[in-house]
Amino acid sequence: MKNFPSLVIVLLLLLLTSCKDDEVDVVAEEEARIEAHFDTLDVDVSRAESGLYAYPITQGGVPKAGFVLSISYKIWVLGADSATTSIRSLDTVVVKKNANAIYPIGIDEALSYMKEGEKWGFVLPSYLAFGNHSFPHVLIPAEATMAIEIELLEVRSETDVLDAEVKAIAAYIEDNQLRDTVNYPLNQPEMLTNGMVYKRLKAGTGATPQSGQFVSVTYEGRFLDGTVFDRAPNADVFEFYMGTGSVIPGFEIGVERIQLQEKALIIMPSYLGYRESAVVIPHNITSEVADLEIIPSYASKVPPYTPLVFEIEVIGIN
Amino acid sequence: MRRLFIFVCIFLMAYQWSTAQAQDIYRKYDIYRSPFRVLANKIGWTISTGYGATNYKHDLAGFYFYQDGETQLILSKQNELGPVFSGYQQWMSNPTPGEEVNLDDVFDVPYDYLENPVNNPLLKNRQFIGDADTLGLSFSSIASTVPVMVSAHYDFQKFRIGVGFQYEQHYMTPLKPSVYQEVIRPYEPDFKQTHYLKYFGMMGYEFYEFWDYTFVLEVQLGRAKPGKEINTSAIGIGQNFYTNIGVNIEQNLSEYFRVVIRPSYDIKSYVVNLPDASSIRHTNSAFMIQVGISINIPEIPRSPMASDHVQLKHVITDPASGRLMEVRGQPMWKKQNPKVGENHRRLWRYKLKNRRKIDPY
Repeated sequence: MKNFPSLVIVLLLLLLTSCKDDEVDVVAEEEARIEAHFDTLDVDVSRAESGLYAYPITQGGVPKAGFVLSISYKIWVLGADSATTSIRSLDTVVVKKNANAIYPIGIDEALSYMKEGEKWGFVLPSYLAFGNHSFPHVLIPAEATMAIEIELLEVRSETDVLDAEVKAIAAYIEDNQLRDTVNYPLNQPEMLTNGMVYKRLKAGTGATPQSGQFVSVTYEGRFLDGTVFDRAPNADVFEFYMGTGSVIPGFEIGVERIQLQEKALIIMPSYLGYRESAVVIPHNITSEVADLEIIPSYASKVPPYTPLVFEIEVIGIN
Repeated sequence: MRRLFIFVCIFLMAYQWSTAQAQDIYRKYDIYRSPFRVLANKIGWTISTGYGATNYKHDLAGFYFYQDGETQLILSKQNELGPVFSGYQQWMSNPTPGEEVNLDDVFDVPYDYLENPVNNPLLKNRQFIGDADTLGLSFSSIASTVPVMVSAHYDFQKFRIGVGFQYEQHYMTPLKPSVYQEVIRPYEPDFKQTHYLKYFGMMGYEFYEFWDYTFVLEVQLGRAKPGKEINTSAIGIGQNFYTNIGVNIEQNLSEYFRVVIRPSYDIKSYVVNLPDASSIRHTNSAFMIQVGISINIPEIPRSPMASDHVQLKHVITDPASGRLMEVRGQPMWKKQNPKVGENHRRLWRYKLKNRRKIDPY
């Protein structure tokens, strides 16, 4: 009985050691499964310090400066049948690398392995993939090890992207005949030096909003292809303080020019909007990932490097 | 009412004393006993301490609940919910208006772009607002409590009446939400510790005896005054009444000395009035178990003579005054009037390590 305290200490130490062992066991078990997976494949796999496994499928790409990548992918849960359960990209996915703008986080590191024109395979341990999050509707369980094949289609710089956006905006003006003074009699679209376009649709009265004023607006946000991604109707007006940087720069610059009761079209390149936004792979869990507060809500509405069109009416200035 | 109670107590004590005086043996032989001691002997004094688990709980029915990364606020549903939420914080102890918050998701369109968006810590600052009625939201926690109680009681046949006070130290823990625990953070009281001072009247009934054990059902009724951590000006008038129901398990070591174990349940609550005239009830009932001692002052003193080794209560001639007086032969915690073999002291040879020794001396 006199040895009771030391006995308790020994038991506590054993308990702590066994807990630590459990954590190590889970990681080691997952790594063993990944190693076993590669034993059956004839690929030249390398393991990064982070735990990411990478192997080339098609090599010989061209090194190119720039951080804006266009990719396509195929992703599935390691161990599941890739032919029936994998999810493929619907369209080309644009992503900025090394910007912490893609989820799962392991893919950001994976992209640095690739050159333009190459295709690589990666295995993401659960801690680089979705962790303890599960997405049952796409058959991704919690603690899933993910396998992904990525093809890097194009590498661009942000300047290249901006040039393309400016051209797309110019084409939008032409396609929608914004210069047509019959349909839009008020005035011509005003091309601002920052790449934005301001086009008055309905005349207003009085002064324009100034910094520090509380402004109420209704708006409809669209992409250049006309798809509506967000709106604030009369029943649910949007209110904000001017000059506080609470909204995207393009929105504030646009509202600064709009008089009370005036309605105008504001078109902005992505650098005045949501820039690289955030990308989720696979694409069909983006809303759930936003709900989990892993990415901002806007990322579930606005893809990366997307010029935005806002039709805004200022209905109150205080 | 209080005067009547005091009068009844004095009357009963006087009655007991006069009855005792009337026992003819003392009169017949003119044996002196101090009237003060005879009277004081009728009062039992108890001091106890122990451990309590106080369940702080409040239901937010009738309120909107708001939370973001920094604050938690409530607002009565009598108010209309607008785009700006102006509620109250620290509704458990000291309700004050919180900062006005914009209810919009500030990471939605057209709010500003966020750099390093994936797993950005700012995203965890997201707002949560809900109707507590729909959510069924309440908060509760167990606060460890250390009570110290002092009471005095008078036994009349099997009934007991008394008064006392109790000091309690409460060690607070965050109150966990009843629902959505993955989203709603525990409510953090703005104080780590608080105390309660209770003054009570007590009634009891001795319902069972077993050898030298006595079981007494006790009910305490009184006022519980919280510490300064809880803003008493925000508490509704008349909200500090409390009830305690417990069972005193008393081991009678002697006719003057008892060891007491007292499991009990404390029923109490208070109402906090918010500045907008709404109010919220907090219950802080508690289960307690207390251990203590209870004494009655002996009606006769120990024998003043060092050479007097008589074990029983006996009569001596007081060397100081020369009159007959009754004295005890035992300390108050030992059985009075022991039979042969009782109250023998444990010899040194039977204590501690000496138990194992063949010849301890």
